[in-house]
Parts: sequence; structure tokens; C-alpha cells
Amino acid sequence: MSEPAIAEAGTPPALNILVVDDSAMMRTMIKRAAAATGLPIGQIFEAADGQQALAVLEQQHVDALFTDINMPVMTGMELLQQIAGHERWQHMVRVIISTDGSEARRNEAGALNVRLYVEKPFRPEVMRDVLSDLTTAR
Amino acid sequence: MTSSPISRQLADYQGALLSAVAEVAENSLFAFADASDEAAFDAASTASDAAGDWLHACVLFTGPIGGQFAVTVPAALARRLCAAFAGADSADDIGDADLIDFTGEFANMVCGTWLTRACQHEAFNLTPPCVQRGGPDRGTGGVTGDGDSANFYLAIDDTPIRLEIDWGTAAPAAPRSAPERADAR
Repeated sequence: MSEPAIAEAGTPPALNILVVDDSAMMRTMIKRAAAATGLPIGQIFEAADGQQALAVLEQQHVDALFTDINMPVMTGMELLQQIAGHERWQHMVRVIISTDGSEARRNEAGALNVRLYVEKPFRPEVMRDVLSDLTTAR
Repeated sequence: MTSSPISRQLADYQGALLSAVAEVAENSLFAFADASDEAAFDAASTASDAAGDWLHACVLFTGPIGGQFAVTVPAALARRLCAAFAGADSADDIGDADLIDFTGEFANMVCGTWLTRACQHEAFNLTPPCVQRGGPDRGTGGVTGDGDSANFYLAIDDTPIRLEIDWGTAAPAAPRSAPERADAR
């Protein structure tokens, strides 16, 4: 398992991110938007569904999880339920990026310790705001 | 499945779909959406440069309302939009697998945006998109205003596209594995 990056004095620690989406193009777009923020980003991992994401989480240190909801094999909500309550991932920030912005889904996400909810489609600058919020809050 | 009053109300509300397409186009694709009509779509579909190369993407939705949502776009337009989405220098840089993936995600985003606005309070589920490549008529066969299905005609950057909503196909579909998005052509 990889260890968290150690930051130089005065700089915020780099954020390791896991992007979970069944669309490779969407994963690329999210990664590109994250890289363009100029914020300290460490490693960016990818997974195409919740099950793949769990495998990554078992092997890597991840600071922030960005997940879609509707995916084959294991949905984003099922992924969040799987990791809920595990001390190992207690401090990992959860962010949903989904087309479903309904009040019911947002409430469901809130109960699963989701910190931010981003509706697709989003402008690239939204990713900057989200990551900025995450890095300054650490 | 019997059409509910809410489904018919939504089917009649082309403005909601235009709003959803505009939101996706302007936020993620640097493109402009506008209303169009069947005649413009038919003219585009018979144009020699686009006659055989179209993409058709559909998703099933369940929740407070259920059905099938589909979008039919010329491959050339999809390729340009995909390049904008991916930040590619040129549409020529977009491979077929990425084109298929993007078209499915486009349908997913438009349907999800539309349902979020339409349902507001209640959650819904979308199946992973199924994408096919072929002629412009390779759709669900929905006919404008035939009761349980409806076609809507919009344009992105002045190129006509067709959206189809079929309220009669809300039966759960087997979850599609991710590679199928690229394989279903």
C-alpha cells in the first residue's frame, strides 16, 4: 500500500484522488480538470465501477474519492455503503459527481458521509472550487 | 407500461429537454443548443456527408417515472463535441472507442439533467448507456406523438439531433458491463 505523500514545509500535502466512473471520457475530463487547478495533486487513480474502486482502496492511500452513482457491477451508493464505518477510510473525503441531483439522492449521500455533491454537467472551474475546498480543509 | 399523466406532461414539455441539452452543451462542450424541427433533421439525415454515419445512444430510467431515453446525433457532430469535452486539439484526435463512450455519456448527462429538473425531490436510476452506430433511423422506432413515445428535435451548433422518449420500455434492463459501451456498434 502506498503511503501518504509528505509535504515540504509551508506547502499543503498533495491530495491522492480516486476517480470512479464507468465513462473513460468522464474520468479523463475529471483528471484534466483536477490537473488544471494548479493545486497540489498527488496520484490520481481510476476505477470503472465500485468494485474496481474497492480494489484500489485496498491497495492505495486515497485522500479523496470522486464517484459517479449509476455504474454497472457496483453503484456509487453501494461503494459508499461498503466503505462506511471502516476506520481505515474514516478520513477519506467523499465527493459525488452525478447527473442525479435530486433531493432524495443528496439526502442519501449525506447519510453516507458525502461531503460534496457535484452535478453533471459541470464546468471545469467547479473542480477547482471542490479541490480547493478539500485541500484547505485538511 | 401505461403512460401516467406526469409522463405525458413531460413528453409535451420540449422546453425542459432543450434546457437540459443547453446545460450540457454550454457547461461541458462549449457548444450552443437551440430548438429545431423534424424537417431539418430529415434534411440532415439525407445529406450525402452524413447519410450513413450516425450514433444512437439510449438509457433506461426508473424512479418516479420510467422509460427509455435516446439521442441520435451525426457522428461528425459527436466527434467535435467529444473533442471539446476531452480538451483535444482536433476532432481528428478522437478514436472510435472514445467517440462511443462520449456519446453514451452525453445521453446520460442529458437524461439525468432532464430528470433532475423534472423530478426534483425523488431519486431515479439510469442504466449504463447502450450506443449503436448506423443510420439516423436506427432508434427505438418511436413516432412523433404516437402516444407512448415522442420525438423531439433540437440542434447543437446548428446541427440537428433527435431525442426520443419511450414511456413503454421501463422494464429493468440487464446492467451492461462497461466494455459494451465501446463494443456495441
